[in-house]
Amino acid sequence: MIPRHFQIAISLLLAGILISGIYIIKITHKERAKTQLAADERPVAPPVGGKQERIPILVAYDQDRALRWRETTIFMPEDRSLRAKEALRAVLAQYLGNPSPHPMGKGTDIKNVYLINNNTLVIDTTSPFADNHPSGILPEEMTITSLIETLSANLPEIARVKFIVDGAERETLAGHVDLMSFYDVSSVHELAKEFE
Amino acid sequence: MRWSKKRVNRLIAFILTSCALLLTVADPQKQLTVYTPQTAYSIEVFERHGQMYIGLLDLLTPLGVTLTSTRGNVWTVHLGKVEVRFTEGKDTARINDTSVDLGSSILVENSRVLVPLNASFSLLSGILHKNVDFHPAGRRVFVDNAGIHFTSELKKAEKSSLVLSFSQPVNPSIFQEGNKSRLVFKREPLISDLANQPFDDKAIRSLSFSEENGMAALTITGDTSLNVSVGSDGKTIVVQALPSLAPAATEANKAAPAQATPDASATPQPPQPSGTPSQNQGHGFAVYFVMIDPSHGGSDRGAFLADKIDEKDLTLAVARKLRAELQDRGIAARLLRDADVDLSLEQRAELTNAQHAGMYVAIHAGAPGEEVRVYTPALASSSVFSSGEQTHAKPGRFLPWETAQAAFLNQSQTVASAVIGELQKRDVRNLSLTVPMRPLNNIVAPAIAVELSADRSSIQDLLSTRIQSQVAASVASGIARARAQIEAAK
Repeated sequence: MIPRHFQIAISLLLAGILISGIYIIKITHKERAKTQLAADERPVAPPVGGKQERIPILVAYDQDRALRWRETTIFMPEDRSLRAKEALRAVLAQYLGNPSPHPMGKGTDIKNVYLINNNTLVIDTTSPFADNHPSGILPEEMTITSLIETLSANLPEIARVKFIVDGAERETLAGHVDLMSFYDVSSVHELAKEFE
Repeated sequence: MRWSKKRVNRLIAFILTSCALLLTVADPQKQLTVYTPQTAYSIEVFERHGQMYIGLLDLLTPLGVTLTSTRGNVWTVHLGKVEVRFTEGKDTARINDTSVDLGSSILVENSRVLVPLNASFSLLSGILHKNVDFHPAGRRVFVDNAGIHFTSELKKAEKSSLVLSFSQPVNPSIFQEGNKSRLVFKREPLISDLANQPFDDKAIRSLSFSEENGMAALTITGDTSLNVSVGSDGKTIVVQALPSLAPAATEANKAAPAQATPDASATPQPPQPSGTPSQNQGHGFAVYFVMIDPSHGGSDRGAFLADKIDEKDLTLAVARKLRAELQDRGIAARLLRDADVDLSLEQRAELTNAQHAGMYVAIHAGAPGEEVRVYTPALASSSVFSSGEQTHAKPGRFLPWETAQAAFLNQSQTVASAVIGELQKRDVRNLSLTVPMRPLNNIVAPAIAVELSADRSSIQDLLSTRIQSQVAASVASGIARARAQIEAAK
């Protein structure tokens, strides 16, 4: 016959093990969620004002070598520079997803968008936009065309666009497509037609 | 005193004749030429107080040196961690903490710093930390062992010929002065220990090398007029004696540019129409040739295609095959690089334009898609193609760099269409596109880019000699066809 005090001690011990086990499982889950969050390289949506809007975006599909219009719902602020930035980020979000129709390097994002004289836009991207972009004429051309066409669809008054990378000019995106020139939006319309 | 119309006319004629005489006897502008492995540039030389001077920034800016500050009469320039200070009136400069003797004092004119010409050697070697060789008599500076060497061989036969072989492609201006042929090398860093080499031959008597005013020259003296042929690879020049001409014809040839012909391997070339970049432009002669650009190279690997397959290696292999295919069709061709070396996009365009290439073809390789893509230039910042109508560049000495290609867009399209046609004939999958890409937009000649592409799973196919040869043959046939179309249109 097991003495009563011994039974009580074993019960308490088992209860302690159970509680510790539950606690450890909970902590493990929490840490895993944190790691997953840290590994997500997609741009974190900034706290933007404005109402939700359904906007057109032109998305590149490498496999078909085509650009296709899609619609996405995002918060669009009133300010035109911020609208341009959000529209561009909506396109990049498509490319940074998994699976991606047009993979781009981790850390790719739009840093700032500067509106000059109401019709010229300078887009400042993060370094990975160029540094980690897949090198090749076609993928580079599709990136530039999809971004400028998306801008034009959402801000029709924009006539010229220039890309800078981390605040400085770059000669090419990833060794091929020109980043030094200002792009005439009307010229880019012609390029986009080739990918229809 | 009244001036009769006859007297006024005489006076005007006298003034015009005097001006013409002055222009004839005036010295050509003095210049210094700096050669580096990547580029060559000439700067003006000034004479002040009996000394030769050069602009400090003219000399250093093309090498990446930047002016960082000017305080009073002290000027500071930087290249990386090297800081150089110049003080007006002093005959020394300070490179970091070392004093460098310049030989004469530093001058400042209209905010422009002038340093003695002979100081270029000590300044460049001190700033660049590279081997610098200065030829003061010829006013030529060679940085980092830049140099092109040549050998000469006299082949005696019924019709003797002098064969000059160069270590790199050259494109000299060729002048005929009586029984002398003068080959002037302005951009090429031609070096030789040879002064004058006599030959025991009746037709070709001697070969001499000279350096003067930032240029090098080879002078070949013959018994009669000489015929100069430039080889299709640009590395060989053959000089032969022409059959004796009637006295009147010889007289007419005096001081006229030499009649150069393509080498023996080439088929007869059609005459160059006026206005093309490869035409004789009054200062010499250039052979029609296609400039092939194996894109990337050196530290620029291009697209990473697969393990141990870089775009730069693939483009060079295809470019070499294309050169051979073009030569088989009687079209001279040159490679912008024939080794794994760095060349900037600016340098690629500059070399192509300076050598007056008749056509430019850039070779690329990439993913995705199993096909050959042919690109024509799209000018990002001009309305040239947006309207569908070609805007011709205004005639003039200078063209905007960004849109230098503008006047050649139609011809580039002709070349692309012809290449696409040839690819289709050989059942090669293809795609024609336009792209805003450097250096296509900066080329002053018909220009296209050809990209061999494959999906990641089949990227090894691009290494196949059969595929590369098939593409090279298609492109070469297309170029030959397009060239004929362009010439015919003119």
